[in-house]
Amino acid sequence: MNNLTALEQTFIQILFWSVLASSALFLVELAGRQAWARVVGVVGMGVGLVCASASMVIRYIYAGYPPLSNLFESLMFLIFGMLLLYQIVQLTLKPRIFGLVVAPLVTLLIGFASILPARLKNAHPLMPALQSYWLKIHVSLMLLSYSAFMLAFAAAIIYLALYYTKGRREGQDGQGGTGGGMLALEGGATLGGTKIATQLAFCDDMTYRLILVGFPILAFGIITGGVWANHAWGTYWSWDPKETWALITWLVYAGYLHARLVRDWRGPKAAWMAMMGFVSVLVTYLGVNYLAQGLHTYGSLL
Amino acid sequence: MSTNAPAAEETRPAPAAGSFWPSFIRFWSSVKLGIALILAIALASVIGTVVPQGDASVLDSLKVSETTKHLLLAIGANNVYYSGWFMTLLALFFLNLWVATQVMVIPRLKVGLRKPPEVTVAIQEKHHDNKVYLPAQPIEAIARAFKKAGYRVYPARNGGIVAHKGRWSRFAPLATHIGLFTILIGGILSGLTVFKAQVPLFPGESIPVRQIVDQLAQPRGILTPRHGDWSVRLDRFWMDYYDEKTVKQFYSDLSIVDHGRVVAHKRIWVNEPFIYDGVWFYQAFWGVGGVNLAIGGQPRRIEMQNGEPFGLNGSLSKLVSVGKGQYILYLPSERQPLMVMRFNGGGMRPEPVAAIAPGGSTTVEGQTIAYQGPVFYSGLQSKADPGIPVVYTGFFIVMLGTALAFFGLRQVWVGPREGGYLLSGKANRGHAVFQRELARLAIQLGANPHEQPHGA
Repeated sequence: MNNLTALEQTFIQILFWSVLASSALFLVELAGRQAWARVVGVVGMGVGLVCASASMVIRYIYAGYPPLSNLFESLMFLIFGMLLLYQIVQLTLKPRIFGLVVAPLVTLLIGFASILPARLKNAHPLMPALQSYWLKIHVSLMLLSYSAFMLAFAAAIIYLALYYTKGRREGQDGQGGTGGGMLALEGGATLGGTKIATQLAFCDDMTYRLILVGFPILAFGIITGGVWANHAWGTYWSWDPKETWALITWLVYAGYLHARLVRDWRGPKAAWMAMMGFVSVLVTYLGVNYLAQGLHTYGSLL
Repeated sequence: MSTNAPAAEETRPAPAAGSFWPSFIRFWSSVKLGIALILAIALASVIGTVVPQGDASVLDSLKVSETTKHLLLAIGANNVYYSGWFMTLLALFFLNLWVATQVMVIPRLKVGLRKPPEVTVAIQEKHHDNKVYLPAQPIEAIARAFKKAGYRVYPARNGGIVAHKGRWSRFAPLATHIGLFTILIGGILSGLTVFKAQVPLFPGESIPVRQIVDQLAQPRGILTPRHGDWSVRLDRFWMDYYDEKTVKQFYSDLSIVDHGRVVAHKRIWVNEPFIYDGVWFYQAFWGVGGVNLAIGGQPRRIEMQNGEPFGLNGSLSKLVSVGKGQYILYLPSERQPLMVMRFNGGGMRPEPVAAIAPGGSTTVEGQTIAYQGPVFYSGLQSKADPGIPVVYTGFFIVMLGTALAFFGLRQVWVGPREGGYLLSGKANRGHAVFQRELARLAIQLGANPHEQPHGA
């Protein structure tokens, strides 16, 4: 057991340093236009993903329950989800400057997890209410949706940074398509294209896609939570602060999707709405435990 | 609608001015209104997570002025989710959802399911970035390539083709909206028919389900169905511990007794309820309700109350007669010895006489008191909710709808142009991936990267 906790610690340390190194590499890429730095950075994020997975598996083995029951364990899963989705985004959409925001965000979260007091960090036996297979399903879905929204937030930040530093001056917000050219056939050059309108449209679309990933997963998470609550407490909805905030978050993103689909809100307005969703995610995940007592006191900060 | 009508996004009813009904529809189908209502419901929900919820006394814990307190009570901030104005907001939201579904979602779905409009120069010019020239070749070869990529292909009148992929994703908004309605209907049904009750039972004790519904249920809907003439009996209750203090799990063996006959039996624990005749029994809590004793050889179970009346704070106690004297039995906690104290009348401090560990005994007034141990009761939560199947159906439809929303519709037009073809396309999401797919297909169909006129 002691050996396993030490091994878990080692993996978390490698995770921290590799993601921190990736942050630096992405900065090098931006500052020096070094394509190799991006490649190495993405590999570093991949090493982080492997280490995060390994640390969770190790805890699962020595604690004997799915490691999703306290704040530290949920943070590790959140980090795992972000690194996993990051790799998927990197492989499918091939963004250029995405890691520059994601890597520091993940670094911060690892730092936050590691300074938690022992009672929120160490493995404890599960209380009766948490001894259910729904723990795995409900909590992992909720955290996975938060991961997607965190990445959407990162994409929205890049959008806003590009817009307020360059796009606005050039009168571009990426809304009118990508600037009116032919489809580029070589090496997918449109994707990381140098035109600011192209980059803005790309970030806008990436935010949208990531929200489209998080939105159904959050719905699944809330619904499995309802089914579990009905199974354990006898009611599928009790306006508990945590579940109410999860619903608020879902509603904010529903607002985003409707504004976009029907009223064609893209660009800065949509990016700011994605930021609003992110704030709501933070309140749901961390803030509620400060605000109010409720049924979800397991992840308590106090 | 003519064949080269604009895409579905622009369809919206244009009501005749002046008449009531069209302007009603127009107002209530507005997406702007919908977003405003969604955000209003979200904001209202925030109040309920900041202000404690319950009866008026919960506000006493808040450090705010009397005026603020009155204001909060006046708007029902202590009971937001059941207040009239919150219900009104929800009702308005569902009205908006209903009208918008009828007026916008369904017509759009119909348009979206049709084959894409015919290839025209105008349509192809609209697709700014997704245009590429293809060399002369049989149109069948192009059609085959798109079919292989999962597209549905239709011949066009001018000798080109139109194709699309992911049409079923168009069902996403409709499914999500229908799912939300189903949850609403299930929720209303729940409110009308639900009963919930806290049922503490001692081992060996039983209670008829009708008594649970009639006397203990809180809340109880006005249409709660009447249940059969059966009782639930607690056969045994026990706990497992991780260590001295931490409870691992607690269990109850339950039997259903129908006219003297045991018809069902189940062991329940937290997260493992028992369902009989539509009534659910949950292991919800537990407590100590008394002690097992033998006084002068007579075994007795003594139910105990909270010790306040005797000035014994927060613990269980009971006044009993032993011989000629009055004694208080006092249990500080279930893991401590039972105290026996002489009762000297109200207002006087009781005087400790003996402390008996479980399994031990003592003699008081010439009688032996043997303490066997505390008596635990099992706290059952009991409920029936006929709305559940409807709510769960709604859950399922919402999951389906939101999952479909991830996928998008891709439309492609190929029209004859300058001796070859112009390929153009449009996707309602995932542009980068769509562009890559188009580029791959175009190169496969012989498009030359160096002969594409770049720029607008």
